Amino acid sequence: MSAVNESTGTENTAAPAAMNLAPNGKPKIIGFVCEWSLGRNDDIHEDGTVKGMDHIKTLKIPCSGFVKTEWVTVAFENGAQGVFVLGCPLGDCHFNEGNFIINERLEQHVGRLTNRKILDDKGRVAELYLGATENGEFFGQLEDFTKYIAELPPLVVQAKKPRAVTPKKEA
Amino acid sequence: MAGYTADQAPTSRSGPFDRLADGIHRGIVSVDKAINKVIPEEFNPFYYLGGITNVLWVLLVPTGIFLWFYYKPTTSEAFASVDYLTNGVFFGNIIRAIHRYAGDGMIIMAVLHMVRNLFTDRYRGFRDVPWVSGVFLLLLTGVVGLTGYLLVWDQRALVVTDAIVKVLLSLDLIIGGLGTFFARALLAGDSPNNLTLARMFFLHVGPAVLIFFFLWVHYLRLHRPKIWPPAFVTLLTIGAVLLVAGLLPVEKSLPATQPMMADQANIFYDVFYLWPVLLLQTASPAVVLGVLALIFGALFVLPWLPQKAHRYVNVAAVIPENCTGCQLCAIDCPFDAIVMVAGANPDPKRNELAVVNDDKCAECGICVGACPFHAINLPLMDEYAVRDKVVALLQ
Ligand code: SF4
Ligand code: SF4
Repeated sequence: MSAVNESTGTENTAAPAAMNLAPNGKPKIIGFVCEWSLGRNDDIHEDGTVKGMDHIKTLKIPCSGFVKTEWVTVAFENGAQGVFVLGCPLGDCHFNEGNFIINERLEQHVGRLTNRKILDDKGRVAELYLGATENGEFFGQLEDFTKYIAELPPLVVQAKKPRAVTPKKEA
Repeated sequence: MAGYTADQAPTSRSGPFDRLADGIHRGIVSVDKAINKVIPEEFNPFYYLGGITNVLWVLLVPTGIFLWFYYKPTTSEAFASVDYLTNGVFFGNIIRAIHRYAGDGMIIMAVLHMVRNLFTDRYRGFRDVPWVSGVFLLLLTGVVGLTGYLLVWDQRALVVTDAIVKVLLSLDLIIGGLGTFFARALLAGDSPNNLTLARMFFLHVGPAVLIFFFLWVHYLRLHRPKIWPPAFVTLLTIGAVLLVAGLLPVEKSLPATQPMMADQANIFYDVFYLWPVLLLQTASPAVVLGVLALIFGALFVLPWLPQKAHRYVNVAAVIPENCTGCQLCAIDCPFDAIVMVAGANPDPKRNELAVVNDDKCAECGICVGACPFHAINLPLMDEYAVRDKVVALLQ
């Protein structure tokens, strides 16, 4: 699937170039950010953008273990070039096990995505495990992640079929 | 999307205590980081403070039973029996030293465990039961340690008994006669006599047995409590105790039956258990009692001190029509909050239904990530809303 997209380039679809890159010219990245991990800081704005990194959009979640692997697929289908999950340091999860659990789930899910050739590189999904004082590492690791992804060919994932929307019942 | 509003956000913490807690939290993380540079993080002892406490407790039980074989709980024979088990029994001095230093280690580790959980905000909300049982465990550990020092019945024990009686008598200031009653009950009379040590012995072993009960309560809300640290940390702990026990034999003392040592300043006090006795040298008994009451009173109510309650706002909710009874959420839930109820599923072909126990739920959402059938949700962070938000962020 990805091979087709690589060869078709931007002419056909016109969308990819615009779709894949954020206005600042860097690949679009989505992050799921555990609200306990980095501590209270001003580095992530209210609207989810990371200070000084406009191509990264984040969602605040209660625990890294909350992430449904399905959302990772959805992010790639909608033009994300990379996805990261930020949790507490392994062994120090606020909810005891959330980061170990997401670590396992992502490993399995990303393996499946690469096997099915939906993803070209496992490195497109990153796991960050950082504690309250590690804002410096946070920016460092995100910069490395961005650089890594920028070197990969643009990724276009088409949803295989319109996702069957499960009739949603209110709880 | 349906997200948290400002008052519901679990992390909306401000106020002087929260700022202080934040500072200490940062300190704790810095220490962790420094340790993680030296040893792999899965072996970082600071992630297993509770487990280390438990290892020490498990060291204390068999060594205590060993000591009990030789111990005679009467004022006339106690000192001689301790002296015999120390000097006359093969390895007796080492076993006694292990019992002594493991006890010290236990209270140190328990306090570190408590401080860590306090300042990383892991003491309130859904963690009220572990916290309160933990305070009970601390109190019991203190009582066991204190009475342990009396059992030796040396001159220090006399001073400590005297201190306990003084502090108890200061209770008379609040309710006349209550302190006297307790003091008499403790000593089995007005002054130490041959029955006293039997009571102390009971107060050493009785609370120790209660520790097992409170440990059970302590673990009740966890699906997979870290009861044992990794083998590396366990061996490190045991090794440290053995090393200290081998290098530092328990100090020699004079029996209580001899005339009191002229220079009482030479008596060695273990600050970890006997700090109230040391405090008594400079403060009045009522003050010591007040300090103890204040510390434990504050610890007991801490989870409910006026703070933004962040419980029962976002408890996981099951959508019974979607639940297949696959148990994945119940397996992953770290707090054992999901029970699989047989025969409750609306679809008769699917037998079990996941049911969330609101009191145990930590609102972490780990079950949401586990469920492949869109059957469990955090009401304030609906999974479809999050998915739509992901799509919206990418436009
Ligand atoms: S949100 Fe789910 S996983 Fe977390 S404690 Fe509640 S029931 Fe368990
Ligand atoms: S994981 Fe989902 S389908 Fe399976 S038992 Fe839990 S709620 Fe039901």
